[in-house]
Amino acid sequence: MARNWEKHNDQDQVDDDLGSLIRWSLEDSLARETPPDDLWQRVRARIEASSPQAERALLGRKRHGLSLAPLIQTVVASSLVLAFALGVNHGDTPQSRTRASRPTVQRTAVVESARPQDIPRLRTASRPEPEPVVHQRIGGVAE
Amino acid sequence: MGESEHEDIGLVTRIRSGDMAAFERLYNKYKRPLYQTALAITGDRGAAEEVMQDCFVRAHRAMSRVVASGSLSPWLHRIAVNLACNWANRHRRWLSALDVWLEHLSAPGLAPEQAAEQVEVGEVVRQALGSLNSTQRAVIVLFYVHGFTLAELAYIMDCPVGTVKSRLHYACKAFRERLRQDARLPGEIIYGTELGKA
Repeated sequence: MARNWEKHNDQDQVDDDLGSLIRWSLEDSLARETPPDDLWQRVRARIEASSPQAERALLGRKRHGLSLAPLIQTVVASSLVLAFALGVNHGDTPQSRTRASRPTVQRTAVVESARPQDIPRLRTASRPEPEPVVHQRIGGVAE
Repeated sequence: MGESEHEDIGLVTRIRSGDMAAFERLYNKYKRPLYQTALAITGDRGAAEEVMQDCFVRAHRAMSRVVASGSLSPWLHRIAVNLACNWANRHRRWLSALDVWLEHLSAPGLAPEQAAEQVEVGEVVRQALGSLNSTQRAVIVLFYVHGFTLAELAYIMDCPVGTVKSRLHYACKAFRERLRQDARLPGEIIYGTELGKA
């Protein structure tokens, strides 16, 4: 018991010394550290920017921005409609040209060039047909 | 209640009514300990400045909710420690800027060999502290450098007093172990009583 108490006291002494070491090494060096002088101005600017008056002004600016939005939307939509109408009238946009020239010719060419032995494979690749079920009897009567 | 606590309560009332000069007074009163704590935890001057800005902006926003019954120091430290630990955990680096502090350790009046010895001890302490995690660093700086009580630490770190004691114990243990491993520091400096006089 007495030994435990002594040990505890020794531990306290060690911790005190450790505390002294930490204090001695950090306190002196930390004590010289001060924030830069302009830091308060930055803090103040941020506080004022987030103040109710500033937020109201920001909201007002947003509202002003929102009132312009329908006008911009209308202009964009009408120009799109106009462009679409012009495209329909001319009828030969590059897109329609490519679409007309592409698919059927190629497919026909593939089918025509296919040799007879390839036909079943092509047919299988394009549309798998169910194979006829063959009932094989295993075993049976020995001859 | 001391004069400082009375002043803080008065400042809170004035700040709530929109008095910016009162908030500036509060800033000037606590800027140094808060900055030093943030710097000790982050080890980066830029980060410590960021922490200070965020801390005071948050404090200003929360001023209407704070219970003004004493010193505002634990409350402000709570915000600052939280922000600094978050920063340190995000960046996982520390103590590059502590070198700058420790340059100051060699005071101009000292003999070169004494100055060298102090820098050596400071370097060892720096490295030992650098091996701790941000929470342990915070608890050591707040307890040993700023002298907060365990109850105040419990409030600042938002945990029970028992947890604070445990953190302090493990931080000191890890710190002592690091010092023991370092051959540059003689045993009498770690355990001797001379430091108290230094």
